[in-house]
Amino acid sequence: MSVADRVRERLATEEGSRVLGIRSDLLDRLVKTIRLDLRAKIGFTIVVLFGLSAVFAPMLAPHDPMAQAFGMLQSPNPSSANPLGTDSFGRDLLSRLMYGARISLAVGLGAVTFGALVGILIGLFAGYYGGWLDDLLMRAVDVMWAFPWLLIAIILVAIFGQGFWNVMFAVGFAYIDDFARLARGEVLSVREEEYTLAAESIGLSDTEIIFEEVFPNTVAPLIVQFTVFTARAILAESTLSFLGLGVKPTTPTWGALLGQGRGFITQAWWISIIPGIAIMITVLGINLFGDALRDAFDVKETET
Amino acid sequence: MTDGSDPLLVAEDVKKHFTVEQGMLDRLFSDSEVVHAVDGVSLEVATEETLGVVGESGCGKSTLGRTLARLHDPTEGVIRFDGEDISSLSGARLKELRKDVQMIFQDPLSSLNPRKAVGEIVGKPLEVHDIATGEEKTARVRELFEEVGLNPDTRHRYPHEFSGGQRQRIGIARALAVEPKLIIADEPVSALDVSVQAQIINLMKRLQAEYQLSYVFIAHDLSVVKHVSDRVAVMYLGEVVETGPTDDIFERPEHPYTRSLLHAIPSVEGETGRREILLEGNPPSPIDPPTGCRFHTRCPEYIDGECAKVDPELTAVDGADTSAPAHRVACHWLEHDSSERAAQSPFDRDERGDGAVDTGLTDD
Repeated sequence: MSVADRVRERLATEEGSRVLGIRSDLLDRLVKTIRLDLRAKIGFTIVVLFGLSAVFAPMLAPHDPMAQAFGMLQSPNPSSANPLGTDSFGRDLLSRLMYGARISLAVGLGAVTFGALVGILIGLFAGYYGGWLDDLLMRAVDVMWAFPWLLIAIILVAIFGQGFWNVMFAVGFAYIDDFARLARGEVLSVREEEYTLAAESIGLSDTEIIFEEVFPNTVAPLIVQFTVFTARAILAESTLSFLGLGVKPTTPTWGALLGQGRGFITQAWWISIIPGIAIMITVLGINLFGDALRDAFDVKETET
Repeated sequence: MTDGSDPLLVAEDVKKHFTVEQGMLDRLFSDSEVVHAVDGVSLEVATEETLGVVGESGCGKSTLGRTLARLHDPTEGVIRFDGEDISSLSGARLKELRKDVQMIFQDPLSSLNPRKAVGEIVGKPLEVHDIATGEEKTARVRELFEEVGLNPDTRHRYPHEFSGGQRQRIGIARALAVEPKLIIADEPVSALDVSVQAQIINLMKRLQAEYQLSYVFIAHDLSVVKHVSDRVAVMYLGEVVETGPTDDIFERPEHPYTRSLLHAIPSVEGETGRREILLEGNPPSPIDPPTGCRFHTRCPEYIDGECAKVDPELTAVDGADTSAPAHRVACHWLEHDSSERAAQSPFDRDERGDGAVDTGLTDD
């Protein structure tokens, strides 16, 4: 028995012990990927750092994000009090950025999770069953695809009003069709593999085959899609906030900060540039982390 | 091996037609095209018997196998297993059948889920049918691994870490897990090296004796089929054209198609005196199969006026053993004198059938 086998023996029982529904050996691979791959490490660090600063913003932020200080209007000086300067009302930009991360990240992740859940379900069933169900679901998806996402989002926000959940669903709605189409395509190719037939012949039901045999084999491109779209959803939320259709005009979000700073870009560039940089770094981090996830879950990748 | 009792599996006039996948508009506004993949096959398999099914690629042998295993619903016909009509089972009763009928697939890599450890794959049937769980399942999986000649400690590895032969052993272990009565092996060795083929075939033979298994062994390699089968069914374009005990088929083939297949086996001895039979052309499309005998477009012994018109029935060969599964052939030459057959020289292929030569043959 090789060392690798013994390690696996320890990690995986016959059932494959699970942590949060993920097989422990996959989790192990993820840890290994992050430890060994520099890009994965950077991505993971960014995601964790931004995630933590968003979650603990009330404790970490040096100032109340809404507190105005008229003595400090548009101050760029990186003082210990305002490391990233202040905006046109003298509000601390760092604090606003940290509070903004809460909304931006939550809306971004929430929107894509919503879009992915619905879209992947549609894609799995359409691709697996084919026939009229496929036609019905995919034509419905085509209709969604025919509208620009911004238009849909504006309509939804206009109908249901502003607010965290509404913005999240409005943004996520636009991603259903992309996830559905990608999942369906993957299912179509996996459906041709004999292991789905084999699963049928040992007596698994259709739903079991879809979720145990088909879905895990479609997941790699979906993870990549998920991370790319999370980045895009953060931008989408920023766009809506920029247009004044975001969560609430007064709530600090990255998009809103960017939008508010736009008017002063010639006098105080940092008000809009810094949230822009934050968005960019987050998007980069999520993408790198997504690549690591994909590598870790692809058991066919050679052992490192 | 047949002891005269009721056969384990009986297929009567089984048909499986597929509708060609079309876009939504085609489906709404035009007639769909139908592939006659399996078109009226009758066969039986006795307990502990191996029935070899041979034919060119595309003749419907895989579809037949999958239909017999009820992975496809038969379009028409009756399949009986152990006396019970299984042709339209569904739900829980179909699941029950899965315990008795299992499949081994052609591509050992494609038939194993790449994201599951092989122990998980082999243990899955035990779980699905509530045969064993937990410790018991682990023990049984180890047993199965040993039974098929694999190291039980490798069960946490993934399929891509094994060689082709080992993967096929995993596939066999999975099929064996529920201790089935019948295993349908769809070209189980075609994807393997010759040396590995022999190992897998010997394994299958050993398991057959040990577990009293019946096999439907689908293959295009006649030498393999000759080695493993008790009886053989030769398929052409969705139909069985000749069936009988292996020796009869290989020693006294009656159907021109069987003969040409046998002649295609490369011979080491370099036998002389055999008449070369080379088939020309490709099998016709199963979407629009030829009228009459399906083989008439390529037959080297074509009879003008009969073959293109009348579909020959499977008939017992004169002198064949009259006890049940006899040597039967679907060919018009059975109604003719053998001397006549030897003297015959057929029309060119272009002049055949519904076309120029014979009048009154075109009925549609």
